[in-house]
Amino acid sequence: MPDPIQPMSPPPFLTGFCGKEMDDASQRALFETIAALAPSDRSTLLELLEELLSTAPKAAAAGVRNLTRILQTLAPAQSLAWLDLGTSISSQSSTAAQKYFLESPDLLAMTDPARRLPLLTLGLELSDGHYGVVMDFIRAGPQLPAGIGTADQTAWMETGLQLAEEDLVLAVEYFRISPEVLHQIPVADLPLWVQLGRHLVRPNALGKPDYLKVIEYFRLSPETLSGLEPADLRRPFLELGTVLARKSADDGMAYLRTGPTILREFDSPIHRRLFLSEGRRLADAITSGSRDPSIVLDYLREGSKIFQAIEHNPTDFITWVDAGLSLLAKNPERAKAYFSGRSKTGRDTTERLIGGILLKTISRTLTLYAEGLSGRSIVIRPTTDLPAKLRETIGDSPATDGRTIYLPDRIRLFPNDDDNFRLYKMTTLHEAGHLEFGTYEPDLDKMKDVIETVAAEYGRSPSSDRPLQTAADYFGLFPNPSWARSLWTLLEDARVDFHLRAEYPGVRRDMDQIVALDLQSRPPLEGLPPRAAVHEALLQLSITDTTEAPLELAETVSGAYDLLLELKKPSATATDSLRVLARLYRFLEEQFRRFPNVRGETDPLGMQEKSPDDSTEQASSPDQRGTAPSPSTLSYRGVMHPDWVRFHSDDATVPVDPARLGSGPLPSAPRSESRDQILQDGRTEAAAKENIPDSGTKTGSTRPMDLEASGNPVFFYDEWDERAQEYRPKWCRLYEHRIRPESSLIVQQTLSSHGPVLRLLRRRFQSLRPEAFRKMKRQSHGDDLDLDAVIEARTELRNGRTPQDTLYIRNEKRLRDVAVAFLIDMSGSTSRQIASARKCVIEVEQEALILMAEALHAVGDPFAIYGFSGDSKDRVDFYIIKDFSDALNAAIHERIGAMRSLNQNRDGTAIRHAAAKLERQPAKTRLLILLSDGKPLDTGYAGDHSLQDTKRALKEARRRGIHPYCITIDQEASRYVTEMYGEVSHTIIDQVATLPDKLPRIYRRLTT
Amino acid sequence: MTTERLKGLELEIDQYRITQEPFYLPVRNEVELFRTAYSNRIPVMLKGPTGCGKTRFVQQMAYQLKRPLITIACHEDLTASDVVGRYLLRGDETVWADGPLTLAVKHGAICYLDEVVEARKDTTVVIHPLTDDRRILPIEKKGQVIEAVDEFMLVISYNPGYQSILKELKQSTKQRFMAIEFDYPPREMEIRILQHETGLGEAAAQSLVKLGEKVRNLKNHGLEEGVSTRLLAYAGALIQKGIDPRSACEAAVIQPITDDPDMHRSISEIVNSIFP
Ligand SMILES: Nc1ncnc2c1ncn2[C@@H]1O[C@H](COP(=O)(O)OP(=O)(O)O)[C@@H](O)[C@H]1O
Ligand SMILES: [Mg+2]
Repeated sequence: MPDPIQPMSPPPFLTGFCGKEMDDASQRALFETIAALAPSDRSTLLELLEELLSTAPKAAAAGVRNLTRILQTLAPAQSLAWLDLGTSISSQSSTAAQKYFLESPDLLAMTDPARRLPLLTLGLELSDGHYGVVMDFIRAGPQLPAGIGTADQTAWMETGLQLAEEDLVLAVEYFRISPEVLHQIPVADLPLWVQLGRHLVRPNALGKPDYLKVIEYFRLSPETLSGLEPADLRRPFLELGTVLARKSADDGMAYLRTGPTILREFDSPIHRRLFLSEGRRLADAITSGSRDPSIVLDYLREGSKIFQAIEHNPTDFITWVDAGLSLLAKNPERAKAYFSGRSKTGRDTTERLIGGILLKTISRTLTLYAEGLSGRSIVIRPTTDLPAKLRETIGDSPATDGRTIYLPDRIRLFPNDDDNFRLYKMTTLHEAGHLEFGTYEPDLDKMKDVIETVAAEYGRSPSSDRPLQTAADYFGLFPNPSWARSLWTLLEDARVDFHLRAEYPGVRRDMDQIVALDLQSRPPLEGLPPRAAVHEALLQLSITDTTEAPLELAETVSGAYDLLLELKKPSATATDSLRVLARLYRFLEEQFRRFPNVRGETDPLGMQEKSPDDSTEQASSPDQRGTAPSPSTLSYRGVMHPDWVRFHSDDATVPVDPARLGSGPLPSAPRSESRDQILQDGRTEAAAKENIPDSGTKTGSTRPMDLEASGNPVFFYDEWDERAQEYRPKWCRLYEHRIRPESSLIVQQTLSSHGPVLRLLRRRFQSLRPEAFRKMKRQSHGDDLDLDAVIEARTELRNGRTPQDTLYIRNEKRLRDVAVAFLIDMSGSTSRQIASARKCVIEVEQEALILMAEALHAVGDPFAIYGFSGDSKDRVDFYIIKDFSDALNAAIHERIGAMRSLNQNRDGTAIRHAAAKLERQPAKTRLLILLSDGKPLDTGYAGDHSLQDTKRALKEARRRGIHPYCITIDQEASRYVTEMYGEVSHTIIDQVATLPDKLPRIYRRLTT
Repeated sequence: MTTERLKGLELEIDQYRITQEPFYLPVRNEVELFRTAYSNRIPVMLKGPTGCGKTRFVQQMAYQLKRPLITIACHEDLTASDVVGRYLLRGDETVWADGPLTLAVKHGAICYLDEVVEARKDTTVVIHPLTDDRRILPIEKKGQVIEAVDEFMLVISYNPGYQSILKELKQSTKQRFMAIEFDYPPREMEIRILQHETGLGEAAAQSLVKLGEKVRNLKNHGLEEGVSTRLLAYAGALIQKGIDPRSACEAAVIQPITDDPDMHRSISEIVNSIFP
């Protein structure tokens, strides 16, 4: 309380100043407030004011004007600190001080009283040298989260102070953003957060620090961090980011931008943590090995996918990372490929981790197995190929339509792949068993009496104009067709399994093992409604011959079992199953009359019609695994469609509906559909391509080629990555085109101007024709005596020496069996003009091909001419000018004439495709002649990579029994050619104009 | 020629006589057909896959007809001289030596040219004059023509199942023979054959025959040929010697017929399904 007895008179420096700056009322208020201060505070205040007024009068005016308000809102100590800070600022910058005096009172008023003094005290420290930051700092005050205690506040300020010592820009940003960030992370993590930001500051081109990234980082931080749940994820997130940013600011930023989204894909916090900590492990390894930090980004993208694929198994995931880390130590390129999902090793590892067996890897084995056993042509397809509508009802269960067996595309029910294979095998066996034992061909003639009885009994006789054709029609005669169907499934499966076990004793153990596992997850009979319980009991009896039926069902079950046993006989047929069904149905129906509506089963008799898909089993209780209802049958027994079970009859009077027979049981649409899709794409791309404007590298002969519109088959090829020492799987996409014939000058000129040459060529090549005999002299046995040798021998004898006994001539028939493919580089560079010939390269090549084709025709060797060009790995164009099966005629000449210089050349892919085509030729000797005019060059296909891939492709061809031969028409070729073609025979033709002359010669030499 | 030499030749032909009756189970009417061909001097072509009993059948017939049997296994390097004969240097002089065909023609043997497609064309040509009613064998080197004795009979075997176009018998050759078709014996017979050949019990023989049927289903589905009775008999012999049936089938059935890993695995699984 101010002392009323000693009123204070304001010092003259103040009154004088105030007289100029304030109105009377304000002055009075100020003086009264000052007077009310304790004497010691008052004197300090006055000292400060005096200093302020003397140093920065203009700023002081703002301060003095707000002083009353400050003194009224803040505690005296706070007010003094406020004035002190202002004074300190004013000693450095009057403008800054003025701003301070004007704006801070409001901010301080909003700041928690407990925070004010520390804020102002540290502000004073900060002002010494960094006055510019102070306002940002003060501004942060009101925004600090409520939970931040004094110690925290100090820590927060200290961090900022330290930062200000280093970098004011960062400090300003810090004070601006950090209060909000403190909502997401504890104060203790602020230095980490700042540290990451520091790494993002990199000198720009002018050598000045570039703050763009860090500012983006700071500003996005609140949102980024709040997106990371739970909160304890944020520290490891920042840690990983720091490691990354230290190596590369760009990668750090990319991480900050994408990381949270990726992490959110993980459902469990534990998995997110694992993902980050594994990322950290990788980042540390990269740091210590000075490897490319962007691998971490690859890891983030690919790793999350892998994690999904391996069903969130932490151990497997760690194994996956481990495998990548060990690659990293050896070959960083490969590690990069691995973590970005480009490498085969990576995929193999993943496949292994995902575990189980893929159908595609064993479908051929299974097909042959089933074909062998059943003696029919069988197609095995994944259930994913089922038409969508059927898929809905069948799901992933195995199924057969009598010809195609649908199996799940992957089985990984068991940790051990032998077990998974066994399940595939048993499933295939069971389905093949249906085929072998006639499930799909019941005999209508042997069914007539039963059909009549059933129809009479339930009053649903088949319409006279449409007799029974399928089992589905038959089931339709029962009051509850779907129940009939499920009983039949049970009976028929039991019958087939019985036959299988009898016929193939070797499978009994396999079947038993699977059944044992299956039975563990079957529902206990106790607690099932009667009908479901009986069904379940019969299912178990269908394979094991034992079950534990509840007492009240014992009679029902044993009666049904007796019927079932009639099918467990070597003589039982598919028709018998259908016959027994009628009896079983009636028997159960009678039995269930004893259980009127027990245990909530509203329709125990199944008297009410149900929709076909609403099968009885679905009424059974959920199994131990929880949500899913018990599978309706054993795992290796597939779903049978009664529609596919067609009656046959020797009785010709049974009319057959042609419409129904015509449409096969299952449309085989899915595969061809997807193929069409690809073809479609190919066409559109091809069409799009032709619209690309002329890039200018081409000369007059480069009008777009006219292609035949007959769809473009697409092929995928691996590409060799020399640095990673492995293939990039299915890396290149190749489109096959057929060039449309086009009459051209080149062809006519060549054929007319080379007339004599042509005749000579033909004659020469004709002499290579087969059936020529070669006489082998001096053989130990043969067709004729070798006269020379005999005479020599006689002479030897006369002279008392032992003659050699190689006295025969042998006629050796040399069968000429050669097929050759020419592969022509049609890249843009072939439009190069050859001065001496006044032609461009491609024209010379065309000329050579025409002559070559004539020569080949004369000798009769099968041959093909292919061209290639393209534009990136996704578009390698492969042009068929003449295929092996095409006869040489004018159209072929015109196709040769239609060849153009096009784009780039990815030699490896084209070689692989040509080799694949050549490989299908039956000839004993298969020759691939590559005609190129320079280095391979395509997008992402240059330098050593392209050379090595080409080399590899040639090597592959050799391994497939093909003899590659490379002809290069490039003056500067010598250096790379040896590297690229390696041990493959090759020749360089430096005078392009001589090609038409040389090509046939080379060929002759190669095949004589 | 001196008498001594002739004696030598007689001895030579005697070694081709079959003194013990070979086991052969007639499948259809092949015995009757063959006998008729023999008595009418018609050359015979036995058509069928390898290992289905053609050779065994000829042996049986030679025994029944009491004729020597001279078998020539044809191959690419077999020349006309190899079949007909050639001059040899013996000491200071050149001596003519009859080839197997000449021997058969002279002595009234059954000459069995096995896998005749494998022979070179110039070799196949020499048998042509023997197949028409002249029944002669020209020996060019000696400037001679030999007329076959009545008991001489020419039999060739031919497997039409080969995929290769190069391995097809020329129409001009085919048209000279009467054909008897062979195939793997029907189930019951094959079981009996296996039992007889190997001493195997009925159940084991049945399983082997079942395996044979299943594997034969795969012909044209990736196998060039089904498994022959011969191979099944080998497997049976191994089993009879106490080798585990799965290993026996691996060695005597799967390995010989396929190098394709998928096929190998499929047949293994078929074997496993049949043999516990
Ligand atoms: N009808 C048959 N009677 C007796 N053995 C047979 C019969 N058919 C085949 N074999 C058996 O098959 C084996 C192979 O027959 P073989 O005559 O050598 O076949 P190929 O048809 O290749 O000449 C014989 O050794 C014999 O064990
Ligand atoms: Mg089934």
